[in-house]
Amino acid sequence: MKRYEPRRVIIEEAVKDSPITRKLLARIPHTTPVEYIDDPSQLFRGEGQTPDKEEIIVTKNRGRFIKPCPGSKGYICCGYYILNLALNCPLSCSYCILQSYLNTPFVIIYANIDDLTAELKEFMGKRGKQIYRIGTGEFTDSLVLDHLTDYVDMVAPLFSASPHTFLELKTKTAVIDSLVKMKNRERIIVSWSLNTPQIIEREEFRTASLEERIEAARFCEKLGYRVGFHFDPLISYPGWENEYCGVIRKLFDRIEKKSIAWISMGALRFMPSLKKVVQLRFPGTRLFHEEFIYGLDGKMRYFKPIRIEMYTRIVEEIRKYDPECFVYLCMESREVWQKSLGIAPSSDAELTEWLDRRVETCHGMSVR
Amino acid sequence: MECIYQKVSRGEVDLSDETFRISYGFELQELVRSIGKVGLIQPPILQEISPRRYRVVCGFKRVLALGELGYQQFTAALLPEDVRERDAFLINLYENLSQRNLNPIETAITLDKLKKYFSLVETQGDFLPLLGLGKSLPLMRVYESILELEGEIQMGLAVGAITREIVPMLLTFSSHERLILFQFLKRLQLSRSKQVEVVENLSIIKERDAVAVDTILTNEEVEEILSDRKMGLVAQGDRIREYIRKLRYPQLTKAEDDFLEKKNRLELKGIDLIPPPYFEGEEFRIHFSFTTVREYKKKIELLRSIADSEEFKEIVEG
Repeated sequence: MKRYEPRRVIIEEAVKDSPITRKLLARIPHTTPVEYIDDPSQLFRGEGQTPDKEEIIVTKNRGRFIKPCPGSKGYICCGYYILNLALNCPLSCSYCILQSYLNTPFVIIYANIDDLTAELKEFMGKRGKQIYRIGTGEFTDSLVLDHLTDYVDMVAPLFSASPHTFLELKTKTAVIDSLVKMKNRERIIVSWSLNTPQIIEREEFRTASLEERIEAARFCEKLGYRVGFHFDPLISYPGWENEYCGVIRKLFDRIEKKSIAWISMGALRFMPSLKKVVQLRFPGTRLFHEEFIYGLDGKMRYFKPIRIEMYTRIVEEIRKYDPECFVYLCMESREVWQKSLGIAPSSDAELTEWLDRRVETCHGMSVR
Repeated sequence: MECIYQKVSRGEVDLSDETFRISYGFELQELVRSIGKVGLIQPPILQEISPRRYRVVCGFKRVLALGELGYQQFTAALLPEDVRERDAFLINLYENLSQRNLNPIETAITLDKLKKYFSLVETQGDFLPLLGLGKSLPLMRVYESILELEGEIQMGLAVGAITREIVPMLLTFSSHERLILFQFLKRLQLSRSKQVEVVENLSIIKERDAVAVDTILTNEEVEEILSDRKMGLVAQGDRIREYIRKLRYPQLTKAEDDFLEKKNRLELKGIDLIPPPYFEGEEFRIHFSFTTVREYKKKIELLRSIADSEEFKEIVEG
C-alpha cells in the first residue's frame, strides 16, 4: 500500500505553529505546495474540486472533539464514542458514507491539539468509573494520516491517564509505525476492517491488501496490543460465502484467538443519496446489485433474510475456530441478532454493557 | 450593435450552417399557419458571411416556415459582420430563453455549443442556472451525454416520450438494447418515476444476471401481457413493471407473495393486515373501517378469532 501524500496543503494561520502542523510540514516532500490562509472554512465545500481528497486543510476544530456515536434509529448501538481528529479519508472505498455525509473534497486535519487534550481530560475527569470506548476511525481512517501527523503518538498517552477509557484505532491500512514506538499499549485496541480480496480489489481503492492488514495485525499482536476485526461492510455478491470464510480462516491462522478483543459484523448500509455519488465516481460498481430495502433509519440495507444469512454463516465459521470469540453486530435489530447469533441485547444499554465487560476482561482488569 | 432590416432571398440563406442553431424536435405547422395568417411579425436575425450569403443567428424555424409557405424573399434583421460568433450565439440563446423552455436535446446542444465559447467555470456560474440546472456539474454531464444517444431516442426525449432522468442508465445499454427499450417505454407510456424504476431495474438485472434486455422484454410473460387486448395501457404497464421488479428483487417479492397468500388464508373480509415496510421492522398494523356498531363488533370478533390461528402466528412471529 502506498502511503498517502497530499498534492497541496492549506494551513490556517491560527494553527501554523501547532505541533501537528510542524510535523506535517516536516514530512511532506518539499515540493508540495503549501498555502497559509486566515479562514479555510470558505474552502471546505470546494466546489469544482475533484473529490479525490488530494489536498489537506490544516485547521482548528471549533466544535467538540468527542461525540457519542449517534446510532441509528430502530437498531441497537454499542454506546461508542467518537474522537474526531480529522475529517475525510484519503482512502477511496467506493461505498464510503463520507462521500454523502461530508460536503468537502479536502482532508481536514485538526491541529489544535491543546484543545483536544483539555477536552479529553475534562471528559475523562467527569466520567467516574464508567467505561468508555472511544474510536478515531469514524470520520477518517485512524492510521492513514499518522505518518504525517503522529496523531496516535500524541493522543494515545492521554488515555493512560484514565483506567476507564479505551481507545480503538480502526484502519484499513498497515501504517503501524507509531504503534511500534508506543510504550503504553494497555488501553489501546487496534482494529482492522476486513473484507474479501475481491471486495478490497474492486471497492476499497488505495487501502492495504488483506495480507498486509492481517500481517500488520499479527505484528501488533506480537507487540502486545489487543486487536479487533470488523467485517463491516459485509457485501453480498456471488461467491461471498466461500470468500468470507477464506478471510476468517486466514485470520485465525495468523492471529492468536486470545489476542482478539472482538469481531464485529455489519452489512452494507448507506443513505440513499450515496448511491448516485458512488455510481458517478465508480461507474463499474456492482455494490447495488443486491436486494436493498429502506431500513428503519431511512438507510438502504440488504433485505433482512440476506443479512441474517450472511451473519449466520460468518459467525458459524468464526465459531469453528473460536467458540468463545466475542462477536457483535453493528446497528442491527434484536430480531436479526437473535436469528443470526442466537442471542440479542435487549437495548443499547445492554450491548454497551457487554462490550464494556469485554474490554475490561480482555485487558485483564476490573476497574469497577 | 444595431441591425439593418433588409429584404433577403431565401436562396441566399445557408440553412446548412447550424453554428447558432439550438432548436430541435419542433412542430413547424403551427408557425406556418401563424405566418400564413398574419405574416412575419418578428424577422429572423441573419449575419452575412460572404457577399449575399447569410447564416441564421435567430429564427431558424421562421426561415423554414417561410420556405414552406413559398416565400422567395423576406425581411431579415442583419447583424453587423463584426459581431463576434460568441456574441451572436448569446443573442440566439437569450432570445430563445425569453420565449420558451428548451427541451432536453436543445439544452444538450446549447451546453455543447457553450463549450466552444466559455470555460467550464463560466458555464457553471453563468449558464447552468439560466438553463434550469442550478450549478450542478453532474446534471450538466447528464445533459451532455444526451447527445450520445441515437437520433430516434433524442427525438423521444425532445417530445417527452421518455424522461431525461433515465439517460445515464440508458447509456449503460448497447445501442441495440437502447432502441428496443425505447420502443418499449414509448409503447407503455409510463410515468416518469415508473420509467426510472423500470430502466434502473433492467440495468441491474442485465449486469447482475448477464442477460440481454431483449431477452427479458421478449419473454413469454411480457408478450402475453402486451398481447392482452382487454388490458388497458396502464394495467399493462403495471403488470410489466411488477414482472421486472420480481426479477430484480426475487427474495423480497417472494416474501410479499408469501405474506399475501397467508393473509388471504385468514379471510379477513374488510380488514387489512399491513406488514412492516419491507418486512424490516416488527410492527404490523390492522386497518378497517365501519359505519355501524354492528359492523364494528363483527370485525372485532373476526380479529379475535384469528388471534390463535396458526396462520396468524406464522405471519407475525415467523
